[in-house]
Amino acid sequence: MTLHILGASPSDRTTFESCRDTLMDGDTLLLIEDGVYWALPQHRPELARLPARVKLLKADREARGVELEALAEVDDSGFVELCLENERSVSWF
Amino acid sequence: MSKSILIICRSAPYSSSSARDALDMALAGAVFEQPVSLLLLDDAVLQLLPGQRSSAIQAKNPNAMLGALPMYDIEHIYTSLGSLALHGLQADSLEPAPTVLDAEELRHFIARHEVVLTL
Amino acid sequence: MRFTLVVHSAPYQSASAGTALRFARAVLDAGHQIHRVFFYREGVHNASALASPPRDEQNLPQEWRALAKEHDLDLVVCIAAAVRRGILDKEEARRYEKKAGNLAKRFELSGLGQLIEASVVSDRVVTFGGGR
Repeated sequence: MTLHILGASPSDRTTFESCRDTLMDGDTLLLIEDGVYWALPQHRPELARLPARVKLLKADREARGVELEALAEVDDSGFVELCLENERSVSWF
Repeated sequence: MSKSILIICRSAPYSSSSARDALDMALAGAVFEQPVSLLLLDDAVLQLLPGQRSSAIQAKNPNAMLGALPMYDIEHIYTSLGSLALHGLQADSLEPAPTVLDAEELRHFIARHEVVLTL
Repeated sequence: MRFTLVVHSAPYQSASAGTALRFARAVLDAGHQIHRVFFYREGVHNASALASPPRDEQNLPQEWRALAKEHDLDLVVCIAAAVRRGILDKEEARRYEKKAGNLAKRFELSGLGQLIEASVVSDRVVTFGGGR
């Protein structure tokens, strides 16, 4: 299993698509930095179609004023936990 | 001790130092006798366009170094069907010729490596 | 568990320079080890002793230094990336005939082999990049 860490905003479609195209069942996608804007209502349908579990990084989401609503988030220690739960991480930016 | 290392570069050759920095990482991995895969995604496939002449912009041409990777036991440069399609390129018109991963192969490619370094 | 962090971005260039520091603190707070933090590409600017942000702004070089002091961290800056961008220790400053070095304390210049070695011996490697 792989932890994918996406830091690019939804305006960077190519980065999102490259990340999306490498996701496998059981992988986790962690949205950090401008990646948390994927949680805006406009982009949620696309997130919902991903095969991976999606989590947001709390501090980055709160800083940017994005509502969590039905999504899951982790704090910085949860970020570390996700790294441990997965065998490797891949950063997309 | 040995670990399989995947280096994913996503940048075109001259817009930043990314292409050269990825190459340097790959060469360092090879020098330290680790199995290294280099995956050129998205704009990074443009590093393989033949006929690059970069002397007028005072930049080193990373394409020449890519061709030398087999000397360092890095036999394959990988790209994806999607990256070729993004720019309307054919693999057989590129130099050095890449090994092309289809969608299913790309999906499984990351899990074949223990460490993934992106830039 | 043993972590290695790779930092590609400079302070002010990308939020990821700050994300890396927060992540490092969280790793240590959870009782895990950091084998090495490797600064590459624009990330070398995290090691500038000359960075002088206003007092009410985060000072990343200073915070890395303090964290390294507290936890005896190995902060390695890629020498080839650093020297090109004007981050030099005393020895490199002499070699290139510059007036002074500006590598902050607790950081050291070394080669990409240090990243490869760290990747091999660490359980997890996490890259912090942005502004490709």
